[in-house]
Amino acid sequence: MPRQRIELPAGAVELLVLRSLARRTAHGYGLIQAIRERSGEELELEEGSLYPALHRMERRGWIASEWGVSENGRRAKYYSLTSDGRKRLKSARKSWERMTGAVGQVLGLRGAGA
Amino acid sequence: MSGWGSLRAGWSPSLAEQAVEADVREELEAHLALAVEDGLREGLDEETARARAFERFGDFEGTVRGCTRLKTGGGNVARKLSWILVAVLAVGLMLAMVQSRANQARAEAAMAEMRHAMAVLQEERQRGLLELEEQEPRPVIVGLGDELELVDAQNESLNFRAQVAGDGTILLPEVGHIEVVGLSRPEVEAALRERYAAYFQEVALFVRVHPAGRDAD
Repeated sequence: MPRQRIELPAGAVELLVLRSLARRTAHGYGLIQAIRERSGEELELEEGSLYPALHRMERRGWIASEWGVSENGRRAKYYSLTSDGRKRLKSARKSWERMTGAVGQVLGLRGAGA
Repeated sequence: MSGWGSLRAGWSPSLAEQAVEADVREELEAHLALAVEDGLREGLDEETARARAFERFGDFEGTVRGCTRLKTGGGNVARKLSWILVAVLAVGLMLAMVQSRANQARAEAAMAEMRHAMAVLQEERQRGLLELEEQEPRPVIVGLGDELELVDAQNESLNFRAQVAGDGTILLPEVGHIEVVGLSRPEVEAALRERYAAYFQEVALFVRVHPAGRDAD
């Protein structure tokens, strides 16, 4: 039985994509796989959320895209992080840490806000 | 291009937007192809693999439209709005023209009514004048006791007054009695001119009748 998908809070998709692209360039399908694997099969981005987020971030100049050839020999669009994207990742990561720390403190989670 | 063709072109996506949509569609189709191949590697048959890939993807066409809008910055929407604005302005202009024509028609109707009223007044005025002209001045008939005032600018001796006597005559110098009662003023003038013609070379005699009991005729 497939596990129920986790509802991601606002800004999480953006942060996950930026972090994944900071490791390596990837196409949309590859990003979904990478995030799923690194989250221990807990997070699976929906295509309907991922692709609009990718195009929005590209418009903002945080990521860039170019057509390439995928592992199956087909054309695929690959995304990479720009310098603006790196700055955005840094600030978004700090915001995320503050938010999760604050929420963790309220919830009384161990290690939260440390 | 006709106006309607231009409108349709403005309403439909531009070539640039069509290119963006094709780009997005190709990207998402590549995504589906990778998902199908993963399914095949897992041992699914092609039909099942495709069905699973499409099911996981969700609203394919909606995602294509959403991404196209994001990449074009809603240019098509802005153009559609601009066409709507143009259409609204055109309708407003037409309504204003219709209103203007209605006002013009009302003004013309008022002018026509005024012209008609003036024509009626003119007609009535002319009719009144005609009626006045048709009213013949009452002929002055010399009666007993009336006084006749003779005026002749050429002959000073013919400027005098004479009263109609009880026998209906007046007594004139040099020519004696002449019967005037019952005659009109022009008839009296004619009779006097005839009488005095034998005594004066040129007679320009006019008569004013002063009826008895009145100062003037």
